[in-house]
Amino acid sequence: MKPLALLLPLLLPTLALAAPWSRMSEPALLTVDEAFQLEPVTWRAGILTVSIRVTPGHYLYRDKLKLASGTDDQALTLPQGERYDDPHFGAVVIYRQDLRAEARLASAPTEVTVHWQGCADIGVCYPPQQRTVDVDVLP
Amino acid sequence: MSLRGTLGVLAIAVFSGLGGYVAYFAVRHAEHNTDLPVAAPAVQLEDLSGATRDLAEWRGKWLLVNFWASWCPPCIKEIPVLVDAHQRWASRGLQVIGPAMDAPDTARDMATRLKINYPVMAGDQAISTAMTALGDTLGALPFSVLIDPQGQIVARHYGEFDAVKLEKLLKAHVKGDF
Repeated sequence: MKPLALLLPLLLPTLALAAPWSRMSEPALLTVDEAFQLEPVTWRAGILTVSIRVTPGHYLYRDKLKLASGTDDQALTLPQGERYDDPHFGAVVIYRQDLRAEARLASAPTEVTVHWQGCADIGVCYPPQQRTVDVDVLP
Repeated sequence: MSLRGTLGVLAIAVFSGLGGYVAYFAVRHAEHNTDLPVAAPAVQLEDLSGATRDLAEWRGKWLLVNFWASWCPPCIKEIPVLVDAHQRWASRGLQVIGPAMDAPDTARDMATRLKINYPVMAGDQAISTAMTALGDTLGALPFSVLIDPQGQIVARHYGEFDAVKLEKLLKAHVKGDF
């Protein structure tokens, strides 16, 4: 008990100093890979699935989501999304939640290239991203 | 270990952690200025006519380097504020430049549409490399850097400037020089 009593005077000012910072309303800025995480791309029974985790406070543009297998663009079936009226780019559709998109592919490709682009509510945007990843074939 | 020794170690641990916490917030928030002032590195970029421009050519002026792109709504939104600042602060030695992470034709079209009154550069990898050289750690836009007449970076800023925020920055630095 005595050591704890001695520690308290040390810890309390420290916590008091930290409190205002913990109340900072400004959210942290993330790198693009922290903001949007591409999950493993899978193929099963003719359906290729692409999932992207979207960190809260960030969003992806629907019209920037693309999938290519080799040199061919593949049509993606995307969820409905949220309509967003951008003062400069007009009405666009965005995704603020984790995203799952599908493409019909008769056979499993070895790899695919996924394109996306998004922004943070804090007022920054990330350059268009492109990742070529292996496809996991599920039984 | 004695109680005194234990307390000493704990105190060091607590204050080190606190220091890291403060550094994290300083680095990962809009104002990213913990290491400043620092000498601006040599940076060369191509302008919209294809000419190579060196940041050093503006030595002797206050230089606000605003990285932007046509696909970045907050970048587009803040440009009128920068256009206005470039005009109003020119007599006090401010020069704005706008490297765009775009193809030259795209940047030119957007610069015309937005009536940009300062030099615009364009490119992809070259712009990204320049951002990193000037202290960007995220690759996010808009990203702005204020360089003093002696070539020292005195401020970095992520995100959109509104008129009040930019005026505050310029008054804090540029005005104090006159």
